Amino acid sequence: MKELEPSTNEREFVLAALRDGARIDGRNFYDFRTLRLSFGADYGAVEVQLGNTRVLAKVSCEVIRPFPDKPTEGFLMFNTELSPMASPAFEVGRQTDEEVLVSRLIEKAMKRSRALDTEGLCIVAGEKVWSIRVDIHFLDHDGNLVDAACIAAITALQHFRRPDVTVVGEDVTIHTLEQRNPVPLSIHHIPICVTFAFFDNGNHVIVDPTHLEEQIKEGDMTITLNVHKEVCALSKAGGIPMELDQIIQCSKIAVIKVAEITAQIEAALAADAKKR
Amino acid sequence: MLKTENVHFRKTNKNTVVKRVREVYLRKDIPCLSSQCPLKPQCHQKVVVESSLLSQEPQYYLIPDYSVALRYVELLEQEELTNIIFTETVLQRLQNEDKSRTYKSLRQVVKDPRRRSVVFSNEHCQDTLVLREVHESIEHRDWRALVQAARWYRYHLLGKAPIILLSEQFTQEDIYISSNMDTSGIVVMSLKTYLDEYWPTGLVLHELLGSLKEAILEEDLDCQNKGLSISRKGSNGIGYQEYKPMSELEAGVKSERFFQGVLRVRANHRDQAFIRGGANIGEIVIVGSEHRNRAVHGDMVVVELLNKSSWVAPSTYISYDPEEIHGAGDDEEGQHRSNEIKPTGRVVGIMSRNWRPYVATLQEGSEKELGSFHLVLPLDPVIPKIRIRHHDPKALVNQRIVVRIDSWPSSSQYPNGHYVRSIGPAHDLDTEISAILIEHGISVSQTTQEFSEGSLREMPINTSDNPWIPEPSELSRRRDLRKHVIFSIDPPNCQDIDDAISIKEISNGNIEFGVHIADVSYFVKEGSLTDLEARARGTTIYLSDRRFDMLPKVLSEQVCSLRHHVDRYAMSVIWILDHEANIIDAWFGRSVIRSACEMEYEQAQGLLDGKDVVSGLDAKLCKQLKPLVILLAKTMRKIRARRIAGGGLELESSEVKFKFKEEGGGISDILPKQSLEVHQVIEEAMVMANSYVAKKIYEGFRDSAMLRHHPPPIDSHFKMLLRAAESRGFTIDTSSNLALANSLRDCAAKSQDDIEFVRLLKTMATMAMSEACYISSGSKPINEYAHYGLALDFYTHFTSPIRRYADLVVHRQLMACLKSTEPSRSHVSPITSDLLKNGFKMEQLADHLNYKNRESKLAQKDSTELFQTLYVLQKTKNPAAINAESEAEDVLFVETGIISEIRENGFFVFVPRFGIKGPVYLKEKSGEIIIPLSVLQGGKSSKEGVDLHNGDHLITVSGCEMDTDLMTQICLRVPPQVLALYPPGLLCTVKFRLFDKVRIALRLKRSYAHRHSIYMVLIGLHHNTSATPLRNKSQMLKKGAVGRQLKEDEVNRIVQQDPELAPLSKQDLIHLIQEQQKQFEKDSKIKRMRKQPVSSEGLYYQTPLDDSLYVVMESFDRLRINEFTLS
Repeated sequence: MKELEPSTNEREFVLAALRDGARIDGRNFYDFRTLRLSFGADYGAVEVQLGNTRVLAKVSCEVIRPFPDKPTEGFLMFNTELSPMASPAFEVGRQTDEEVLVSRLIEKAMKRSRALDTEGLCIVAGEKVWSIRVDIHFLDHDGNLVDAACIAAITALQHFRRPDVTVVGEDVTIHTLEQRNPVPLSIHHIPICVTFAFFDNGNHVIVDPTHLEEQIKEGDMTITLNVHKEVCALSKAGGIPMELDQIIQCSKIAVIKVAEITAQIEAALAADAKKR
Repeated sequence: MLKTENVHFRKTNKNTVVKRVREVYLRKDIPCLSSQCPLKPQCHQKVVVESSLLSQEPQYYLIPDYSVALRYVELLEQEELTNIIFTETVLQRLQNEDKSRTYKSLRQVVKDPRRRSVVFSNEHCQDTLVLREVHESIEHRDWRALVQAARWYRYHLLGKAPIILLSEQFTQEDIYISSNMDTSGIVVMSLKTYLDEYWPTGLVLHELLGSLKEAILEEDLDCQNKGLSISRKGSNGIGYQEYKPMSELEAGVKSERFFQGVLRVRANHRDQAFIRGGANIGEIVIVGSEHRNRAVHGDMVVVELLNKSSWVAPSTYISYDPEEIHGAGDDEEGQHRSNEIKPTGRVVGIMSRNWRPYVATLQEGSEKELGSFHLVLPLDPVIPKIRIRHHDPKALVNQRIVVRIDSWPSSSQYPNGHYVRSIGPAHDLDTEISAILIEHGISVSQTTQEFSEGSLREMPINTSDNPWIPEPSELSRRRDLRKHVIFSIDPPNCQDIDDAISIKEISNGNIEFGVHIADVSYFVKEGSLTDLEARARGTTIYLSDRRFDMLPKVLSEQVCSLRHHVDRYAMSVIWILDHEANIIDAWFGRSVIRSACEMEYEQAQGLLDGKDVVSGLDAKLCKQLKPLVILLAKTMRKIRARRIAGGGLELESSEVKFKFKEEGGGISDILPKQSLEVHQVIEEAMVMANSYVAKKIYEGFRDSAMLRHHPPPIDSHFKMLLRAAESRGFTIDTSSNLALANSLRDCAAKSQDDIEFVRLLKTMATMAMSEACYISSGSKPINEYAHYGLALDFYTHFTSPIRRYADLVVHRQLMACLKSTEPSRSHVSPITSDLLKNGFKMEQLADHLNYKNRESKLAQKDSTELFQTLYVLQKTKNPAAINAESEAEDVLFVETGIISEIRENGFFVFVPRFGIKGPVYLKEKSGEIIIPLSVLQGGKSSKEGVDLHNGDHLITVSGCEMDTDLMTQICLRVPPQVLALYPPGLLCTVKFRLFDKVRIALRLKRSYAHRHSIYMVLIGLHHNTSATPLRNKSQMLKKGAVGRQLKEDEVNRIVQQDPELAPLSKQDLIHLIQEQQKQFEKDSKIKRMRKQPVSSEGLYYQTPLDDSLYVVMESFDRLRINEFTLS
C-alpha cells in the first residue's frame, strides 16, 4: 500500500510551527523522544521504544567455519526486516528503498566501524569462529527507524552473552549455560546514530524526526558517532544541499546526544544486570 | 593482444616461499618514443603517451643495464647524458629488489624533458619479451631481454642510430652468446670505456665515476662479510626442519634412540631449554631456536641427541636482560651445574602441544607498520614472539592482550596466533592482576568470582531476613557440641573460617581436645555442578590484595564458615589426651557446633602472654578463654616437641604481606609475615588432625586415599645451603630430616646475634625442599607416603575444605569410612563410591590438584612481586615528576640487604625488610666494572677486618685506575663464594662474601612489554657500628665522583634521604609527596569543575523534563492508550 501523503493543511501546520520554534509533539528542536529500553528474559533481547517507534533486537550465535582468507575473524550479521507490522506502508517480500537504506546504514554503523571485536570471536583459527547474528524487528513505525534500530542493536550486543569456551590443546569445549556463566562479547565502542531532518532550506534543523516530520522534511542526515567523538559513519542520501558549517553544527549536537544516549544505555544495562 | 604467464617463486621476509603467477598481456603497439620514428604517423602518436621523446638526430642511444642503473644512478643523473632508454626490465627489477630510491631518481631523469630519455616497456611488447629459460639466472635473462630491446630499436628505427648498451657486468662477446642473430650496430660498453670514448674531456663525469667505483668496492667488501653471516643464518633462515613421522618417533622413543619429555625453557636464559630425558640420561639441554625446532615451553617433545662434540655447558651469568632476571631467583640449579657439559640434543618431533592462552603486548613500534600481521611479545619470557593478525594495531598499543597460538609452520620464524581479547592498559594494577591469573591458567569463571546459575540454585539460602538454620532431622544425626566452648583463631578480618578448636580438662587430668572443621561436604554433594566447578578451580587463590574463591560466597563466607554465635555443621575430631598429651582415644564424626568467639592471632597471643583483657574482646569472654588458650598452648608444645624430636623441620620463608592505604589504593608498607607462638599452636593442632585423618582414611581406602606426600629433597639441591653455611664455618648434615633439623638448630644457636643470617639459612633450606604433593595411596608403595618436613608417616589435608578441594575429598572419604564401620548404616551411599574408591581416578584428581596448587602459588608469588615493584615505584617516584609528567630522575630508595648469592658478574641481594631479592651488577654488559668509590674507601677503613681465608675462591678485579673508570680484566677460578676487587691505587681489596650486609638503592627497571622489575645499585658496605662520624661520611659521599653511576645531585639526595645521615628527612619527603599529591588532585578537580559546559553548548542538551511540553503531551498519549485498553 502506498503511503498517504500528509495533507496540505497538515504540512503547513507543521512548517508554521517549526518557523515559530515549536514541534507539534511539544519537543524542542534538539530533543530526542523518550527512550525506553526493556530487556527480555534471555540475554541479547532488547526492545527499544523511542516515542512511538518500537524496535526489537535479538542476538544469537553459532559456531561456524571462517573464511579461508580471514581465518581469525568471526562473523557479525544484521538482519532487518520491515514488515507490515510496523506500518501498512511496508510490504512483505518487496524491499523498498527506505528499507535498503535503513539496513545498509545499520550495517555501516555497526560493522564497518568495528564496534564489535570480530577477531575476539575466533575459537580455533581457520576452524571455528563464532558467528553473531542480530535480528532487528521493527514493531511500530513512527519515524527515525535508524536511530532506534541502532540503539537496539548495540544494546542487544552489549547485553548478549555467548557460551564460555575452553580450548585445551586442540580440544574445544563449549560449556552450557548451566555449567559455566556465559561471557559477554568484547565491544570496542558504542556507535550511536543521530538523525537530523531539515526544513526551509536547512534553516530549521531538528533531531529525531517523527513519521510526519519525515514525510514533510526537505532533507535528512544521519551521523554515527561514539562517545570518543569519533565519527563512524555519516549518511546523507539526497535532499537539499548543505553548508559545511551546518554539518559541523549537526556534529556538535550529535556529540551531546550520543553522550546522553550512551549514558542511558549504560544505566539500563547496569539496572538489568543488578536485577538478574 | 597476447597473453603469457609469468611464474616465479619468491621468498617473503618471513621466510615463506610463495609462488606467484602473473598474467602478462602483450601489445604490438608499444611506442618507441623516438622522434626519429620512420613510421607515418609515428608510433607514439597512435597511442596516448605522456613522455619526452628521444631526440631527432642523436649520436647514439644509451641503454643501461641493471648493474649500471643500480649503482651508478648518480652518473645517469648527470645532465650531460641524454637519450637514455630505460627498459622496463631494469625498472621492474629495481622495484622488486626494493630499491625505490634509485627507481625514483631514474623516473626523475625521464620526467626531465631536456634529458630526452624515455622508458621502453619492453616486457609488454610482443616483439621484445624474453621468457626465462629453465635454470637460467635472472641476470642472464634480463641481459637477453636488454639485447632484444636494443635489437628491436635498431630494427624499428631502421638502423639510424647506433645503440650503446651500458653494462658493468657483460661485454661485447656476451651479445653473440645470448643470441646468434644480427646484432650489428649494438655496442656494449662499460661506463669507463663509454666515458673515455665520448666524454674524454668531461672531468666531472670521470671524477664521479671514480668515486662511485670506490664506494662500490667498499660496499662489496661489507657485503662479503655480511654474506658470510647471512649464508650461515640462511641454513635456518630457510625454515625449520620438518618433524619426523609419529611412527618413527614412537619407535625411536621405545628404542631409546630418542628421548621424550616436557620442554622447559630457562627463564633466565631464553636460548636454553631442557627436558628431563629419563633415568639414565638425566637432563638434556637444547640450545638455540634451530634445535628447539618450533617447540614451545610446555610441549611434549621428542629429542634426538647431538654428537658429543657439540655438547655444551649452561652459563652462570646473571643475565642483563630485565625480563630474564625475573625468573632467576628460583633457578639455583643453573648455578651449581656450571662448567659441567650436559647432553645436548635437538627436537625432532612433538608428541603433543600444550599451548594455552598467553598474555602478550604488541611489539613496540609495530602499530606504525602497515599490513595486518604484527608480532606480540608474550609476558612470559619463555614463550617466543607470536605473529598475530589484527586489523587495527593502534587499538592494541600499550595494552595487555590475550593471544592463542594456532600453528607454527616450518617456514615461519615465529608461531602464528590470533588475538583473543584485550585485558587493559599495561602496567595498570587490575590489568596486571588479570594477566597473572590468565598466565597461571585460572579460569575466567573463577576470576569473575561468579558461579553459574545452575550451581547457585544448589546453594542453601542465607539472607539477613531468612538466616540459614540447621534442619532438625539433620541435627538428630549429628553429635551436638553446641554446649562446648569452641573458638577459632584466625588472621584479622577472616571471612572463611575453616577450623575451630575446643579443649577442656576432664576427670583424672585427661584433656578432651577437639578440632572442628567446616562441613563443606554436606553442602557440596559429589557430582553436583558446584562440585564440578570447585574441582576445576581446585583451590581458593589468595593474591596480595584480593581473593578468588573456590566455593560460592554463600558457602565460603556464610553457611560453611564457622562464625561465632550461630549453629554450624562441622566435621569434628575429638581426642582424649592424658596429661603427657598422649592420645588415649579418638572420635571422628559429624557434629553441630556453635563457636563462642572468633579470635584473632594477636588477641590469642595476648591471652597466652598472660594479659587478662585484650582489645576487641569483652572481659567476660577473655576470662573464659584465657585458661583454655594457655592449656591449648601447653598441650601443643608437648606434641610439637615430640614431633620435632622425630625429625620435624622448622623452616622459614620470606613471605611478606602488604598494608594498603585506606583510600587512593597505594601501598603504605610491606611487612614481613610475623610469627607468633599462637601460629605454631594452631598449626600443630591442624597437623595433628590431618595426620590422624590420614591414617583413618588410609585404613578405609587402601588404594585410593588422598594423602599428602612430601618427598625427601634431592641432595644436589642442598649445595647452596651447604656452601652458605660453610662460608660461616658451619657444617650441615643433610643425611636425614632429623640430622638436618639438628644442624640447623645448631647454626641458629651459635649465631644468635645474627638473626638475618639464620633466617636466610632457613630460607635456603626451604628452597632446597622438594615440593609436597597430593598422591593417591594406591599409586605409591607404602614407604613413600611419608611427609619429610613434618616427619610424619601419614599426612593429608583435612582442615581447610572451604579453600582446598583436596580437603573436601578427604572429608568424603572420611565420611565413607565412618559409615562403613557403623553397624547401623552399613551401606555406603551410592554417590560417594565411584570416585573415592577408584585409585586411578583419584591419582588423576591428585595430579590435577597438584597442578592447580602450584599455579595458584606461582600466581601468589607473581602478585607479591608485582606489589613489591609497585612499592618501589612509589618510593622512587620523584615528587617533581608528578606534576611535570616527565621522566625526572628517580629518588633513591636506600635499604640494607644481605648478599644471598654470588655470580660471576655481580650478586643477588636479599632485602629482608621487604622480602625483595634482586641483582646487583658489578660488571656492566660492556665489561666495565662499576663500583662506587665509597665502597673502595669503605674497604680501606675496615682493612683489619679483611682476611684472605680462602684464596682460591676469588674473582679478582685488578688493574683499575682511580681517576678513570675501574676498567679491568676478570679471572674466575672456582664457582665463586667471594667476589673481590683489587683496585691498585689502594692497598686493600674489597670483598663481597655471602651474607655480607650491603647498602643498596632499589630501582625499577621499566619495561615496555613485560612487568617492571626491581634491580639494585650498590651504594656502600653496611657499617654495623657507624664508627665514622656523620660529618665525615657525608663529606666522603659528597666528594663526588662516587664511582661512575652516582651523580653529584644523586649523592646529595642520598645524604638527604639516608636515615643515618638525616634521620627525619625521609619521612618528611614522603609526607611532602603525599601533600603534593593531594594538592594536585585538588587542582585537577577544580579544573574539571571549570570544564563544565557553558551555555553555548547547553542549548543542545535534552530539555529538562519539567520544561518540556513533549512530556506533557506524551503523558496524554499514554493516558489515551490506557483508556483505550480499559474500555
